[in-house]
Amino acid sequence: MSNGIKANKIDDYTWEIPKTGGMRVPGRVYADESLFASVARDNCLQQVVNVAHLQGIVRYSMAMPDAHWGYGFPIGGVAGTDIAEGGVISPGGVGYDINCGCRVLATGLTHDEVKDKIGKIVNALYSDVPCGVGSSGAISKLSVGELKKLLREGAAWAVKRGYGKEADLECTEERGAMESADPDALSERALERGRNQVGTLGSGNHFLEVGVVERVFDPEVARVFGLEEGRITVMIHSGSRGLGYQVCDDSLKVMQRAVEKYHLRIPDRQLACAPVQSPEGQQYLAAMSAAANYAWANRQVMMALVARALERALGAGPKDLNVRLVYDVCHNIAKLEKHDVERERKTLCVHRKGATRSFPPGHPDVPERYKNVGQPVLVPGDMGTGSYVCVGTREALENTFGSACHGAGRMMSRSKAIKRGKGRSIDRELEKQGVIVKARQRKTLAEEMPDAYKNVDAVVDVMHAAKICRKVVRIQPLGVVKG
Amino acid sequence: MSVKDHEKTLPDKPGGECHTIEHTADIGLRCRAPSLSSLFECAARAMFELIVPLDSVEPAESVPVVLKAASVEELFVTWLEELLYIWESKRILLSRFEVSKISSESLEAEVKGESYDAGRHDLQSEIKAATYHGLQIERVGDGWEVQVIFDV
Repeated sequence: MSNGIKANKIDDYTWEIPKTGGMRVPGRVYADESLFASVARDNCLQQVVNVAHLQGIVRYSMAMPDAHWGYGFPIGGVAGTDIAEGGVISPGGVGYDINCGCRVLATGLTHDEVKDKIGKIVNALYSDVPCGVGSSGAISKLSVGELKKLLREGAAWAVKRGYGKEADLECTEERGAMESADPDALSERALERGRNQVGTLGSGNHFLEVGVVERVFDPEVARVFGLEEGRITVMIHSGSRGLGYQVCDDSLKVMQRAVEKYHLRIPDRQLACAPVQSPEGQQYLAAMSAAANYAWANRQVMMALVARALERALGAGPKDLNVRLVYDVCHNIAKLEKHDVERERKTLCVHRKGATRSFPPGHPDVPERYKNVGQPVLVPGDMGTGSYVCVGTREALENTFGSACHGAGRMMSRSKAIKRGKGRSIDRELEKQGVIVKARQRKTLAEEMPDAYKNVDAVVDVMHAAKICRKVVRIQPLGVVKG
Repeated sequence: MSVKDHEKTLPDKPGGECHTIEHTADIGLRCRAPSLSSLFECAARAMFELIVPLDSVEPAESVPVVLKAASVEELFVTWLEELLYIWESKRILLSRFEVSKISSESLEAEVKGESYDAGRHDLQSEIKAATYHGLQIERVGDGWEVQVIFDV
């Protein structure tokens, strides 16, 4: 094995790294042969091993099939720590972009109705949803007081101001606001960064994607989710912007000192952490939750802007479009959740970094309207390929603390992608494949080219085969807006 | 103005060099410079070059920077983060960096740039953060070297 890390194949989709040295639990990687080779090449296995050293970690240090190297935790990493056993919380297990996540909107539009209008729709989204570098929000700069309200209320803050409706909150993870949020846990710097970025998309791998449901795998669940073959969807992928990054940055300094204070032995300084029950742990949890709420408010605002842009592009009213939120998930977060570990009910701090919650039917946190079928699990792919809506499973709860992959996962560096993109017109290539792309910078297009990502179909196939989430529909992209 | 006079009015070059390094999801820099202060200046310049072509940014406005940190690594990250903050919150692009005082735990500097103008400034990338990953600052021979990864 590369890096000298031994991993045993458990079955066609599961690999185990035996507990050695300072590891408190084994590692577990969900991948087929090809995806595993990619994970191993990327030095990701070392990170899985490192995470297994965390105080209080239980069961496994996990990696999803789209895993790739990150700060401390791999992106696509999942770990739960037992708070009663001094279990830690680690900002590296959440990521800089706290609550980077996505939401999927269903519409009443059919592909036939809009297939000649995708360019018009993409242009409208590009101009009406602030995106890209250096842009400020659709909402003018908030006072600090108003921002703090937003940080407490999350998506509900946006609803109160006319962005979307109350019913949207039911279809949002945590109803769009974590109660553990405390705006006073944020630095002045973080608050300052958040004041004028509300409702902005951001750049890099953030995007808006107009697509069509091109294949239905589970008609019953699709019907419950409100997804129908041939109907148009919109996906919004974005996070907590500068405020979230600042919270992460502020916390890293505190956590470096906490590691010494609590005599925590960590193999990588990027895994700096503190016991959840410590003042440092509590402060990070409170600040992280506030940043998460910011991202939910953001996606709620952008959803309304998307709906208005569609209306404008198509000369239609809200009733004609029938835009409805299917679900909103976060994929960079740490949450306190109750899970059964060795037949004991424990409160764990579950880190999902580049991983999505995947809860089964009947779970209390699944919205009422989806309780019979399970939680929607949204898996965006790269620009050209496709995205999936899946559904959560009991097996996920039993094996991965209810966690699944989050998307395609990068496998090529940005500089390599740019080199490979030289002389190529990525947007024209995608247009030939039937996808219209509009990006603020050409560089973003090259960096985000499909070749730079793992194959989302392969990633989802692994999750489906391992029963971590089940395929419901596949969405074919038609138009993409990137910052 | 004679050629000689003109040369005198140009700011001193940082006297270092930087190049980008490969990374799966993000971008990194490796810089080398003859002194700690020029290392910090060089890295700042290279970071902003990733954001915008610096020859389009006039040094019209001056912003003082005074920082303290627990170690030289923390100082370095804090320095870059401070510059990113100036850009993000004040919308000032920076092209000139002059560190007047530096120790392993503090620095004083003056940085110059101008307000973002969509017509003249062709933005290339958004740098979300300077990270601690793989961060190394060390004396190499007579000079200094640093490696840093940015989250983009």
